Amino acid sequence: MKAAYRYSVAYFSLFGLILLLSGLWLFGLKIGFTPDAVSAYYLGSAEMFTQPKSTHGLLEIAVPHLGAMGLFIMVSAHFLIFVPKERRRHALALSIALFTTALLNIFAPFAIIAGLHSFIWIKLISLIALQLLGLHLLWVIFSEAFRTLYHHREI
Amino acid sequence: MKFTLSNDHQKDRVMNTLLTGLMIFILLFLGFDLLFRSEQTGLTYTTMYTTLFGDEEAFLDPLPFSSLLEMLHADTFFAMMLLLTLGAVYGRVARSKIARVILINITMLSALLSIITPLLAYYYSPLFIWLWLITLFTWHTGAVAMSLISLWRLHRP
Repeated sequence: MKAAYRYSVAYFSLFGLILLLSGLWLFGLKIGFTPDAVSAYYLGSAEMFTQPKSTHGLLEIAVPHLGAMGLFIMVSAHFLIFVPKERRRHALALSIALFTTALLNIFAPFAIIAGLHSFIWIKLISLIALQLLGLHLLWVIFSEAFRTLYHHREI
Repeated sequence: MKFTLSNDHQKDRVMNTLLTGLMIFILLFLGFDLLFRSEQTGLTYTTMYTTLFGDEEAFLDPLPFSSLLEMLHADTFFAMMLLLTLGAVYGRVARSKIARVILINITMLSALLSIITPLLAYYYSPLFIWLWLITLFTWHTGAVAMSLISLWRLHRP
């Protein structure tokens, strides 16, 4: 990997960090991190005078996120080809876990409005898992890009 | 991304055509992005200030913080994908090693700051709007330069 490309990869992981954190911040701002808050957001609340979310409303959020999250995970995780061979299994497990948690996170709201209340917990757990796995992935590619930059000292 | 592995893009006609198309699309995106932003937030200190904080005399409401955050969330995604792809192409075709590292660093860093500065302006001081403006134009200019240099290197005689 050329030095210029390593810089791009290192910056990409910083952008990824901002993307994850802003997503988490938006979730906290609009929904909240408690099961009651998630339930009130998707199923409506008489106390807060909010209506339940419609399928159309959920699709408006789910469709762009399906494209963007799939692309983000694929582009980020494909840098794992640069990690040492002994860590390839770890890279594979991380990629599968990321795609799975992203799918659960996107589709859990549909299950919630369909009456499957246990998916409130799945929404919260998948969100936290996605953030942690995403942070881990970004750290791996950032440290790998930086490590090789430092060792090769090429411009 | 094959173009990060292939060495001679000038001789590879298919890859050359693809990268030329990509560079033209990126140039168009950068131009229209500024046009769109001029409508969305404005591109002067005054219009950006009014977007963030509103104007009582003109009966303009301030931008809700969640809307600002949504805008920055989407901007981050587009900037990271565009600059990674552009950086990969430019890093491959540009000749001067020092110049390409400097240009990539300036463009990427200013793009990162252009995402953070609106939040700093919102929370700390409107003076950060100046930094927002400067970094926004810097990363767009840097990206245009990277695209044009890549186009030149792909089609040099």
